[in-house]
Amino acid sequence: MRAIYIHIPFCVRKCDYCDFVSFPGLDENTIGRYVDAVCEELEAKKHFLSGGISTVYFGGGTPSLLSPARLERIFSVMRRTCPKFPDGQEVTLEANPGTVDVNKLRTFRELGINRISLGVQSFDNNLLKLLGRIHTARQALDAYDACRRAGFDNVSMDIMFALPDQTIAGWEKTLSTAVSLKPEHLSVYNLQVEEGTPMWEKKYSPQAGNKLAFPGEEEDAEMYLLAVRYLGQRGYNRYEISNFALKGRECRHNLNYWENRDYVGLGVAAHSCVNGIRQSNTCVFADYLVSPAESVVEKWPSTALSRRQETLFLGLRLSAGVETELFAGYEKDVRELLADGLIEETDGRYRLTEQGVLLGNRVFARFV
Amino acid sequence: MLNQIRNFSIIAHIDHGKSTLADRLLSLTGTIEQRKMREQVLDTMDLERERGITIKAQAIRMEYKGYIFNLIDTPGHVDFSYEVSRSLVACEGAILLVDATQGVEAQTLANAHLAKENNLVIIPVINKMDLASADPERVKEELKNAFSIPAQDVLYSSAKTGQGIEEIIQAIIDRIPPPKETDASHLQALIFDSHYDAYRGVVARIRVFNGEIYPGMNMRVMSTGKEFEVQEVGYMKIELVPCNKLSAGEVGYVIAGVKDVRDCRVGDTLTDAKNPAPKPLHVYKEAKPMVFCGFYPVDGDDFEALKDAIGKLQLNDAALHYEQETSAALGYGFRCGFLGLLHMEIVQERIEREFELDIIATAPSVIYKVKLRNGTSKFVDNPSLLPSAAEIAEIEEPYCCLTVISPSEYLGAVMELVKEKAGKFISMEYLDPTRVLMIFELPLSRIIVDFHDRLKAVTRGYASMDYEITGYRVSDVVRMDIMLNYEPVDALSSIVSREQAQFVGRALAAKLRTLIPRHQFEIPIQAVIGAKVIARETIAPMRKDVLQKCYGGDITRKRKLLEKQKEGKRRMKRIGRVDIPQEVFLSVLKMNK
Repeated sequence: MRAIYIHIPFCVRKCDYCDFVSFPGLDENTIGRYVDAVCEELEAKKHFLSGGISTVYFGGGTPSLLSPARLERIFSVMRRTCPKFPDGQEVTLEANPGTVDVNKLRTFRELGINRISLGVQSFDNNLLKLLGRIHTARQALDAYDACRRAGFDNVSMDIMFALPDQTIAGWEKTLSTAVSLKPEHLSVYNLQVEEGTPMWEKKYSPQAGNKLAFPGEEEDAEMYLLAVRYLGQRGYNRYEISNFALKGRECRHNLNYWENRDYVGLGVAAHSCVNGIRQSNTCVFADYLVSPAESVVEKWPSTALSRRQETLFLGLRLSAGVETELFAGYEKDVRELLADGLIEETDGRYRLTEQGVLLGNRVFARFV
Repeated sequence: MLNQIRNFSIIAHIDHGKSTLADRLLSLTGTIEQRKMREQVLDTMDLERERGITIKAQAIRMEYKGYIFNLIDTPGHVDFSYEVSRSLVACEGAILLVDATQGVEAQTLANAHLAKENNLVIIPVINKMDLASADPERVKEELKNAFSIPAQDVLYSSAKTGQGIEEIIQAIIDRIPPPKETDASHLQALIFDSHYDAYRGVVARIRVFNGEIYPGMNMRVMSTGKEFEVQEVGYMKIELVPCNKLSAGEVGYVIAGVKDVRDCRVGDTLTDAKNPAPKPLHVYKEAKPMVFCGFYPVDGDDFEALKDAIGKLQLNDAALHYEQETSAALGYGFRCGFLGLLHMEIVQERIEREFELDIIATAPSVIYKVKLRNGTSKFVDNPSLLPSAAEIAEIEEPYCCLTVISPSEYLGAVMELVKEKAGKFISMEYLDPTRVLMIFELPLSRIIVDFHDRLKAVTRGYASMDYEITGYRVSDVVRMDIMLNYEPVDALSSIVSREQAQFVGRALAAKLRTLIPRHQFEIPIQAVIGAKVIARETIAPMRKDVLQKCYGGDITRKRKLLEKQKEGKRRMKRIGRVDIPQEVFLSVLKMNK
């Protein structure tokens, strides 16, 4: 069984912080050609899926921009590849609140989508505007409501902290609004200001002046710890550094990454891991359209050691941690990390301590 | 034969065109075809090319119109005056090359005086005449004032365009005397450079003064008495060209199955073991290292590899001294002695590049003469080994005589700088109406690190300098230690003047705060003298560094990022619980204003 990731690189407009591969404002004809290309790639890679499909994830970009007809095209190929699909697998689609209504969502559900990941980010219109989001807080609430009315019983929300001008109190309000909606799952991220994005300009360009107050590391840590505490008290277990879920509602597709298992990525810029070998498709849209079946442009060498290292630094992201036996050969690092209070051992597994979570990169860097 | 030989070197300041002139001579004499010409053939080491300087003496033989020219290239930097002296005595003449736009510089002055002391004939050449800003009249006046060189002796050239090169060649033939043989019955050959070749053993570059040397002969190295059978002799052209013998006046190389360069020391005299010369050509004063620092492997497991690397470098570098030492903070390493800071940096870089070792160099120190209350005295080249104040009666440190040549408009700035470095003004003299030669006296410790850079900065690059050690003087200095996270780091100890201690301590603590990365805990930095804390800074703890997002596509990217982080850490030294980057150790003396 392998997980499938399908990249949908379209959006209405790029958010100011986004550095993903996504192309705003493409016409329907181009989108149609892209979907054809994804189907062709899927067809070409179907031998990877001979053992079955474990989960499917439509990520973006904004996958909810796709018309149900185009989604159906992709589903039909998956069904051909794997006759029993969908058969209880988790099938997630990322949705932007500004692009969905109850009817569209209902069709998605009928196609076989059974989990929605809603990009809410904030319930503060000022912050949404500042992030360059295309929707308002009202639309986010409506979209969530529409998901429920369309019958989705597994909804996740993305919310962001460490935003410019965001206060601790404001962040707590975001958390309380999110929790009041009772989503099954929450992904909680700090704002990463990446070079080349408009947000970078806002933060670093001399013209930006000091109009925006970007929170420092200290506030970032404080907001994160607040989220862990606030959500934990309300039944949302932090099962991964940035992911919280009600019992049994962890995202199976993403767990697959952290447990270092194979996945097949389709579409422009998609990454795959097949038999432990990581590879990525071209980021060039035109190149992908020309030869989707041969779009892999980079492969990373894989060794038993590099595989185990990945198992360690990915697995440590999970609150479940990693079995102590897998740390063989890293005794000195483990000893130092234990002494520094960054990891702890329980039930034969090493996991990050609270401080270890905050300083995760210091821990992970030991295992590369 | 002897009458057709001309042995000469080129004395020039950096960038005055020495290498370009050498290239011109090589091509005009047909020694190397134009199309095969690599730029600046003589500077063969990568490091030399990068820094635009010549580190080791090189030599090359040219044949032209029945004459044999041996150009013995000399190092240009103040650190290597020792090597210059060895090269100069192998010659009968020297071209004194001066930039028509810059004039005489301090280093040129020192080397030209050295050449005169060794009775070399000097051919003054004003170079870069092609430049619009060339001012030959002014430079001529400087040559007259500085060296009493008559104006009619001066030649003009542009090594870049080729102007004047034939005149220079003619002057080499006409003005430089051919070598003289004083005692044909005894072989005497001077080693002016010696290097180790992995395949052939030691290749010694020599100038034969008397007699001849040939394969099959048993040669004796006069200072040690060791004997070796000569396997090959030859000339240095672009490649080594073997020949039957080297006779008096000739410059060439000898290979004699010598495995250790220390058996063929530069400055030593070779003679015939069967018929030895009564005495060596020269009694050389061996260059004493003046600057010391510790070299430690970043990874303690590399100690043996470092030992091997330094040993190999010493094979080609008689001036490099080293002995094993131990630091509480850094573990096992070596105390190394150098001619100066450039020499130190070059050795460090070569260890890192050629041997691919990560090393930490501790702050350079001069050698102090410490008189103890118990009546004994000792030399201290490592600040952390300075005895406690209670045991010390008196400390002396080396002083030097510093020569600076600068445009007169920067006179005030130079004076200011020297004053800041605790220097004393001795005298000054105008070389021409716009350029002034100044002499100062100051502690060597104050010029070994950044004085040259600072001088260049305050004079917009126009001043040049040279220095010479004059002797030891009593000095009011104290040892300042650095504590990180309450643990002393011996490798960061330094010796500073008492009146400057507080200022230096504060500046250093502040500097360390910016250089040491944040850790997961707070790190206090303290500068202390004895038990007294004179400065304190704190490095705030790292709170959060975790990358929150990590999904399928991020894994390889993230791995790369983590690898970079790990690599950065690998290059740091862990002392107690604190990881210290290498540049921290050099920052110490740089603060010592």
